[in-house]
Amino acid sequence: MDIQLKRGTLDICVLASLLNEDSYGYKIIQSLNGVVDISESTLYPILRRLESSDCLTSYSVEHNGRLRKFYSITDTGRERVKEYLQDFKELLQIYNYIAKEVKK
Amino acid sequence: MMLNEYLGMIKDQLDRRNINEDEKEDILQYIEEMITDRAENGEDEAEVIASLGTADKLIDDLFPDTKAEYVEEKDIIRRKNISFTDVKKIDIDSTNYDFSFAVSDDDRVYVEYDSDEYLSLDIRFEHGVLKIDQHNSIQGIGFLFTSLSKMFSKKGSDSARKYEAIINLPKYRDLKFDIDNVSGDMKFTDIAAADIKINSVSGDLYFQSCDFAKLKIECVSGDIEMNDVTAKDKCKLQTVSGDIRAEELESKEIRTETVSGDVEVLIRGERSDTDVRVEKPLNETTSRVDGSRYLKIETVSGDISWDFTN
Repeated sequence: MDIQLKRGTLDICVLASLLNEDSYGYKIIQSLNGVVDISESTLYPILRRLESSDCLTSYSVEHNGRLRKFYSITDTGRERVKEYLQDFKELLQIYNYIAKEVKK
Repeated sequence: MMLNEYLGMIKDQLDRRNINEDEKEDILQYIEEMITDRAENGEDEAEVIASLGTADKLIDDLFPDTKAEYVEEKDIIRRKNISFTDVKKIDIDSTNYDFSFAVSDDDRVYVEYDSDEYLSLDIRFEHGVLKIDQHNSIQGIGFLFTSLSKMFSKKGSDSARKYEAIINLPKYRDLKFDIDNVSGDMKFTDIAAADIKINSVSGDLYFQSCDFAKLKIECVSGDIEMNDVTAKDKCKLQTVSGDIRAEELESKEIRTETVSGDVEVLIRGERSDTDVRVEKPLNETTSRVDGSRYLKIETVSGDISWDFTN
């Protein structure tokens, strides 16, 4: 996939994985397995970016004697996901046009 | 590799870069959590660590803006380039790097330096202190042995390979310097700073149009040359055989001391306003005017020449 396209998409994927429940680093990577390929080093800057743009917040929970960081989507984050889907619908119209022209 | 060992290497890499303390804590926790979670879920801890790659590559991936970039290749000496913000103090420990200090266009401190398989600079940034240490590889130590003999023969041994570091700084008056250099020369152009402390053996020091609060220099055979320098509160220049030449030097308290080095100073300001004390065996001059400033020149066998602009 084109790298520019991928960048924005990965951010949204991470947000989407938090839509229905809060999650933590390792679990986010696992849930995206098969959808997009994301490594620890790719995920970290995404989480930083989303947190500084107020799309998510974080909190720590104790687990097996250590602290595990959980991420939670915010209303701004949910808006971002909605916007993405809207943008994508428009993109789909453009895609259909191009595909039609190619078929001719 | 064990988890703690790897985390130690990560912390080490983080300290070398311009990353703030909270961020460092954050990333260390993140990496530890990730490795432990994967291990808890059946993966082998050592294999997980191996899959993350070396500490410096991992930090490069996570913080690409802090990578030390290679600017150019000069023969086999490579030029490296790195920059920092919010530097409060610069601490340098070097043997033979020549340092040039000039002003940068913004509020970042830029360090550009030569590096090869013999010598390099170890640069760390922690709690506002930029620590620059010369790093000698095993071959580098051998190389220094041979250049050590050259160091005591001809000054400015041109036959020895030159290692240069250029540091561009913001004109930030509260900046402090603590420099220890052996044979490397140092040049300061247009620099403003608070306290500067320099220890040199044979390296020469040049200052052009600088503005300091306090300046303290100790040299053995290195020469000190100044033009248009203000060390507002205090200026202490000490050499053994190095010469001291200052033109348009201004300070409330100037002390210059040599054993055999020559002293030639032109002080900016009023003679009538300065207490002067010149000490040379069998040749002393004292002029007490209860002035607001103080000048002291002391030597054993050097020649002394001093004057005021007014």
